[in-house]
Amino acid sequence: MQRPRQLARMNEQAMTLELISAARRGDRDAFEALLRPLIDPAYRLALAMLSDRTAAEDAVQESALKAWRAVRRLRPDPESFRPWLLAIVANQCRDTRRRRWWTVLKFADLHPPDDPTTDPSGLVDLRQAIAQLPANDRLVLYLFFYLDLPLPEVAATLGISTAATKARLYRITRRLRPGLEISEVYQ
Amino acid sequence: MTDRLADEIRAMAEASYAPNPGIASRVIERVRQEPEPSRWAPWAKSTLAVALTAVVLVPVLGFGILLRANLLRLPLPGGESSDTTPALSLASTGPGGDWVVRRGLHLGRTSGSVPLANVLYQTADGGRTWTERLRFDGGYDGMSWDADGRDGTLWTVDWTQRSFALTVYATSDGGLHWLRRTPTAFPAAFAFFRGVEGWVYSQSPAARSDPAPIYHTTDAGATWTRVGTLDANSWGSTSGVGEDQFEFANARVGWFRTGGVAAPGDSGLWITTDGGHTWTSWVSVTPPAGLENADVILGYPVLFADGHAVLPVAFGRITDPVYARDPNHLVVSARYVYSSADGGLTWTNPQKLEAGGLQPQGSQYMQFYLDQKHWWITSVNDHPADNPVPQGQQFVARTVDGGQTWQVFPSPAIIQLMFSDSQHGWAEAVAGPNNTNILLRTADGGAHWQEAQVP
Repeated sequence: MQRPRQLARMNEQAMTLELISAARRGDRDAFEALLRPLIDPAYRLALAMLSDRTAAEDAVQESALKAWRAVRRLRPDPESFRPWLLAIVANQCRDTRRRRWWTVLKFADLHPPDDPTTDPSGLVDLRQAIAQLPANDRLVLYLFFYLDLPLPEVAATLGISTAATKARLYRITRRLRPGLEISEVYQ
Repeated sequence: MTDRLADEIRAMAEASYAPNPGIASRVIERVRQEPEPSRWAPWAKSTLAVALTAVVLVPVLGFGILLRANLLRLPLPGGESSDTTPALSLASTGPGGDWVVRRGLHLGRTSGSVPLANVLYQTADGGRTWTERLRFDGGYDGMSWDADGRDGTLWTVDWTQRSFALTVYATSDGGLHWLRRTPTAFPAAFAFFRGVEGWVYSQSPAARSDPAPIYHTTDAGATWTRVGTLDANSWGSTSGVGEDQFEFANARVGWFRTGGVAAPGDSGLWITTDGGHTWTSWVSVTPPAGLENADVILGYPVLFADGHAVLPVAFGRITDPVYARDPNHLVVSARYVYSSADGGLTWTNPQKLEAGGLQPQGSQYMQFYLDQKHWWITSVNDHPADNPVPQGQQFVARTVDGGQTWQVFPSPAIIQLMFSDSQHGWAEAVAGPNNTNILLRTADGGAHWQEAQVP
């Protein structure tokens, strides 16, 4: 017998699939219904990648347009829309970064306070460590830990396999926290 | 512990989060102003017109040729073929032929990731036809051939398990038959093979900053011997897809690159001259005039069969002392390539890496060195001017004289390059909103690229 939560999830998936099918036929309302709940995570992702509110909104807006123009090519899969849209956002942010390379080198203005010892949480160390990561590695962290995307969706957003995503995530977290066990990363 | 890490990452992201009231309405409104999406992608329209013309002129054969040459690309149907997003790896090109791995984890329609076998393909006709040579599990990590192209290895690392075990597949008949070795009992953070001889940098996931054992095999992984340790725990910064950090020029000389900015006592590059028994941090290069006080990142040595080698080096300045060793914070002022005639023991003759005023930079930077003279780089034109390729355009640049002169060609979004000679090469590129991997082939040194279909 199906549990209520499973049934609810199945209904939700069926509804999402219906919306995707309609959007693929050019139904603007269906596309908006899919897009609206993802604008905030898309903006958060763009802001984390670009550290610039205006640039982040531009990236989200441009990504939404690209998604709409390409919506007919979206796979009819209820779990495909979010990673697909976030992949477009990530690509858009990469393009933006390329155009303003020197700004990006000063990433995120994550300067520590004058006296790091006043931060008992160790957050300053983590900020510095994350700021030192390559941009694509930061993207993995944000997708997994900040946006709480499941691994297959992180993989789809990055355009790489789940195994590769897992390995990358493990390597990154291990660099941030050398004592981490691999099982702790994916729990 | 991970919860705390996740909490800290969230807190950090939230700390830099700036609310943007009304963004949803603005984005939705902008989409509403956009016309209904075309049933065909713009490029498909033009190619379809070409295809239809060809169909009229050459009813059957012409259409088949267009499809094979991938000049006609239609939107993916909703059927089974659109269900997967195969990932590709350029495996090897050279005496053993041209080899590509279609990696085995695909995104399923309803079930997330679906583990399928990796497939190793070989082509002998430039990618027109492919022969399946091996199906294998695990995370594909690399492939290597002996000089005659008969004996070879392909190895995988089990990234999904805590073991990080290495599995070696060996062939002695050019890839027609393969023998699977039992997975190693030791982990493999990095592995490198020269044909059937291999080394493993064996840092375990839980080893923290302990020195990593180095294991060595001379029989394609049938037996392994622990030969030494390497204490270079700051590793981790890679420069691009397909680039190694751990390599041996011969049975004795090997390199390990950390990717960090050079500092006293740690140049970021470690060398062994006794087959991996002992390692020392290699001293830095002599900078060109005017860059004597610059911060330095040593790239990865590229070693050729004739004993020559090249070493890419970036010079620049890190202005914030907090990031003193961080390569991401180096404001690069110039990139040079040093040469070695003794297998990488001494490096001289720095040649500036600059093509038509463009210096490679950014996350799209990828390079390939065939020999002392023939080099390729790919990057994106970050200049404000549309010269020599449009601004924002990715390009491939080629030199045939060791970096003295360059040709620059616009290119697709290439993430990996590989050449078997001065004219023939392969590239892996990404295309479309899903970053779909595509395989490209050139027969004119990178000036033009044509997509090759992998089964």
